[in-house]
Amino acid sequence: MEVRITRRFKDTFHSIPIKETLLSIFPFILSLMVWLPLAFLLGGSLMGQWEIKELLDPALAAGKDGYADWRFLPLYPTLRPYVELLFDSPQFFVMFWNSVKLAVGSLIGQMLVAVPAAWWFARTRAKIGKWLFTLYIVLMLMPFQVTMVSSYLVMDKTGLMNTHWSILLPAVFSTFPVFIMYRFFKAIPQAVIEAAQIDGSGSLRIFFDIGLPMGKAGIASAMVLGFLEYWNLIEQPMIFLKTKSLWPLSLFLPEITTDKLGLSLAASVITLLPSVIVFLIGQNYLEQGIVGSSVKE
Amino acid sequence: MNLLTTAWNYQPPIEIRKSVKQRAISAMVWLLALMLCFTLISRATSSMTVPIVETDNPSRGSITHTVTVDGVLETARDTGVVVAADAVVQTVNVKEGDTVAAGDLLFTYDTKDFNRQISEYQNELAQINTRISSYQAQQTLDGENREIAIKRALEDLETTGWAGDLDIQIAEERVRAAAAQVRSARDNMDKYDGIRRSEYDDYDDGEYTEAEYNAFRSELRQAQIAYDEAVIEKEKVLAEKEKAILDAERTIEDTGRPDAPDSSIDLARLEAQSINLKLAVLYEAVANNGEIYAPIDGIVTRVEAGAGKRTTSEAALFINNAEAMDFIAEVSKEEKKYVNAGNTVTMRMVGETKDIQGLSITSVQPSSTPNAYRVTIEMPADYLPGTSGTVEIKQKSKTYDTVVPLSALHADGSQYYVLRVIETETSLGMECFAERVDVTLQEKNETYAAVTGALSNDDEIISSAGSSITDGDKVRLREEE
Repeated sequence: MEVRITRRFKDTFHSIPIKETLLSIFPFILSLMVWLPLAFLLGGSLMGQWEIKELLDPALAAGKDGYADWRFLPLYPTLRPYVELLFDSPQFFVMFWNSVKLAVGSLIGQMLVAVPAAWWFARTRAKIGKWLFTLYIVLMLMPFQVTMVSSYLVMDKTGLMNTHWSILLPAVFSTFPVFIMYRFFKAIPQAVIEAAQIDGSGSLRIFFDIGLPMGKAGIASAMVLGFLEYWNLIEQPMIFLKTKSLWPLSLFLPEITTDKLGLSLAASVITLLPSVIVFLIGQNYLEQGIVGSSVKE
Repeated sequence: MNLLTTAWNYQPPIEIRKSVKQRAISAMVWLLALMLCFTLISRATSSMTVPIVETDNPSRGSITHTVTVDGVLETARDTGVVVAADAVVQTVNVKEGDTVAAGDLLFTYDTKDFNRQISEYQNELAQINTRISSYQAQQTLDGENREIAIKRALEDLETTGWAGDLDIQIAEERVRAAAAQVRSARDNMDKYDGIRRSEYDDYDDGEYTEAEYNAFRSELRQAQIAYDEAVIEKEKVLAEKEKAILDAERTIEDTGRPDAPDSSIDLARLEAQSINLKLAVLYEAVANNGEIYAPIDGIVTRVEAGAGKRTTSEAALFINNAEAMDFIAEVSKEEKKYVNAGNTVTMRMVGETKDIQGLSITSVQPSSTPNAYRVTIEMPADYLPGTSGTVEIKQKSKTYDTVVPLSALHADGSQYYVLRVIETETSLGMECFAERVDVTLQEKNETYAAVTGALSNDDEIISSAGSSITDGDKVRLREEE
């Protein structure tokens, strides 16, 4: 028994090529770089106010020109920031539910608008479809900053300024999910559709019974990507929402003063949670979606 | 190493990956449920920790100072009956201790004597009136004389100026003549000098002799002396003119100056007034056939006049007012500021349930106790002397623009401030915060304070709060019931 184990261990040891080991160290270090801020964040959210102040003071205090210090593990861990945030910061929850409303509302709207749109683009043979789709891609390539002023004018004239509709409506009619879902719908073999048509299925039936189940992965990945985007939305609310009670969570952190840094770190951790969970839910679809969106026609 | 590698290359089977998804979904449900709970908890905590305040608007108004002091009723002061002096009393109808009513006969004079006195006073009055009219005539005359004197002095001034100008002209003429003479003498000398230089050798030709030359020289010297004298004369005339004008002006000034105020007329008038008063008393006495009646109800406390005796200028009889009493109370120096004669007061006597209204302070005078003042309030004699009671004295200040409840006023060292409620838009909607506004205290009483500061009458001032509030604190307004 022992001999066998030893042999297996040896076999395994010898089976790892040194070159491969060395190569894997490099991405390990890179991923560490990505993970470090998150580790700092988790550690910092458990620190007391004075400890954070002591570490950050050289950089933050007026007139000082030093560098902030940081440590992974707090010297005196405390749950105080969390208690303060969860029990004594009603404004945090106002913003949390605003974020939920904006993200979920946008996604529901996209389900209703973008899914049929993508299906049509994928299945139409009309030339205008190609033209329109090209226009869609051009629109998608434009960053928000480019259309910001014109968007502002439109919102102002339509009376949507300072309402959640100013965030929801542009998100509902966003072009990005159409682009992602198009790829998946396009991948459905024409033969399947034709078979259904021969069997006497109408367009709607084909869309609901064949299109949706087969494009499920695309829809889900568009939704996950959409959630991550709308959960972290910052520019649109900053520009379109004046009333603080309408602001989403992404604007909570800039509101926090330096004497409540602990609170901001705890708030960051809580803000992170829905994104992480949604990522876990749609991880598989997301990977497919990213692949789908990166494959050019 | 083996273990690490295995972990590194771990690929969960599809079923497990599915279960990760399911767990994530339930985690999401839990998270949302938790967040909902915490939303409710944090709102409840916040509503418990935010102090509920009551507010009040500053108003325009005055500060009423109320001084409440205890005191005792005392009998009122005696009232003296003054009669004409130096008259013989015939009969005295009252004695000490008698109760009299207003209009009761007190005593009688001998009116024969009065008629003599009246004619004496009338004579005196006539004399005084004559004196007054002669004073007035003198005053008018003085005024006219002064006017004439001023007129003359003005004329003199004019003449002096004119005559002076003439003198000056003459003097100037003389100076000019003397100057001409000097010039002619110098010309002669120059001519002589010229001849002597050109014809030196023919000096003895006999055209000008030594004697002639000397004559020219003495002529020039004399002309020069005459010129100097004329100049001095002119200066003298100028100075004389200036002095004459100055003198004339001074005369005008002196004449125009008013005389020292003459009080003779005023004194005489006062004298006449006093005699008239005496005459009035006498006329009244004669009209009443020398009978003197009691002016008020009361008890006769003292009788100075006696039958057959002559009266003096002092009161002949004293009556104590039975209908009025004095309420005497003492106030401190601090309270004295708000206690003034004429203030209306509210009084309640011991054992009574009703307040006495409509009384006012008769006088406030320094008391025998140091740093205290004696307040006298005259009131009807419905109570026995010695009855004690409480008096409430109210004094209203001037009207101030901003009056706040005293409970709204806070002090930080010597700096007074009030807390104003301001509405600010926050992520929770409109919320109220306390804002400190520094004010200057003008005046205050037990409940209100008049202040000046950056306050308007629409501001909501925190007048009471459950806990102590500082600048910037979040507050909640008590709901109107």
